[in-house]
Amino acid sequence: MTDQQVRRLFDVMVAGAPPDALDLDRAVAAGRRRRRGRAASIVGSTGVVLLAVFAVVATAQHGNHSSGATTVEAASKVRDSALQLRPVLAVDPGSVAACASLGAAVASPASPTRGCSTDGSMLYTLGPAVVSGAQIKSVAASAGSGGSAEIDVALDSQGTTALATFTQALAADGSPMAICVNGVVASAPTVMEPITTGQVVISGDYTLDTAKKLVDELTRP
Amino acid sequence: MRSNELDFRGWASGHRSSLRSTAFLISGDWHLAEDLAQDTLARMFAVWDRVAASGNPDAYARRVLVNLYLDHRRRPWRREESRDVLPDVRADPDHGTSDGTREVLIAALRAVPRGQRTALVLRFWDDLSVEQTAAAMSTTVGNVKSQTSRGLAALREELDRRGIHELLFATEETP
Repeated sequence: MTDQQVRRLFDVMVAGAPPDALDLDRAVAAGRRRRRGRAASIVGSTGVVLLAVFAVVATAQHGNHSSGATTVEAASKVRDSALQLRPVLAVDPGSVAACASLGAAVASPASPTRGCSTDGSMLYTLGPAVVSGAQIKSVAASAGSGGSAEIDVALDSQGTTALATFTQALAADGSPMAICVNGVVASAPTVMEPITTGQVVISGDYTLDTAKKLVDELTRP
Repeated sequence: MRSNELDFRGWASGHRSSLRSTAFLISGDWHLAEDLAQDTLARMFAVWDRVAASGNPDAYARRVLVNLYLDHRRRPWRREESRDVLPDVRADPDHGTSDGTREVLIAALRAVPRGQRTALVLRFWDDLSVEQTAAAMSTTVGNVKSQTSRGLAALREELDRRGIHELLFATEETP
C-alpha cells in the first residue's frame, strides 16, 4: 500500500466529520486556569523541564519580602521531606474522607506512600521517591522571563543521574511524575522528554513574591 | 485582550480543524476527538508564551495531543464522567458514503494497534517526517519506522479482511 493511498483513505474517513464544536473561549479560559493552578509540564528541547505548577502551596508564615526586587534570591537548602519526585503507580478519584485519612505526616523518601492532589480530587499511589530534598543542591526564586517569576531547582550529581534515568523511563511510556510538596501531590505532569541536565525550572503564574514564598516553604527548617 | 491571546487565537483558528481530524484518526471517535482537541487547545494556551517563543507550536500541539490520548487510555474513568453519548462512529450519516464504505474503513483503522495507528496518522495525515513523528510520540526514529511499516501491513490486512482492499485499489494496482 502506498503513502498516497493511505492519505486518500484518511481523507475519506475524516470527510464524515460532524460540525466543529471546539470552543476557543473555553480553551482560553481553561488555559488561563492551568497557568494559575496546578498544571501540565512543558519540556524544552534543551532537556530543561518547565513545570507549570502549583499555585502557592505554601501556607506557612512568610518573612518580609520587599516587592519589586528583580534579583535572584539567595539559594538555599531544601528539607529532605519538603520536595520529592515520585513515580505514580495508580491514580484514583480522591475524596475528602480518603484524603483526610492520610493524615499530615510526610512519608520518608524511601517508602512508598499515598498522596492527594492539592484540591483533593485525585488520590495517587506513589512509589519511593527518586529525588528528594537531600539531592537538591539549591533552590531559588528568580525573575524569570516574560514577566512571570520562576523557581530554579538545581540537583546534585546523584540527583541528576537519578532524575535522568527516571525521566527516561517515564518519557518512553508517557507516564506522569508526581511532584510532592510536604506530602501533597502539587502536580503530576506527564514527562515528555528525559531531563538530563539536573536543572529543573518550576514555572507558573508566579510573581517574584509568591515564588519566594514557595522557596521559603520548601527551605523552612 | 493581551497580544499573546490574540496570537494564540490566530494560531488556534488555523489549526483546530486539523487537530480535530488527527485526534479522530488516532482515536476513531469524533466525540473523544473533540474532547482531546479542546483539551489540547487549553494546554497550548496555558504554555503559549514559551511554546510560541520556541517557534514550533504545531509540533508541540501534536505531542500534547498524543499524550492526552495515551493518558485517556490509561484513565478511562476520567472520560466516562464527561461523556453523555456513547461513541458513534457514524457521526454524520447525512454525509456518509451511501454504501457504508467509510464506516468499514474507520473500523479497519481502529483495528490497527494503537502505536502503529498513531505513527500512520502522524506520518501520512499530518505529513510529519520520521523525526517529527518520533518527537511527537516521545520515542525513537527506529521505533517510528518499524511502527509505520508494521502499521501499513496491518491496515492492509484489516482492509483485506473486510474485503475492501481489492475494491478500492483494484483499478490502480493493475497498470
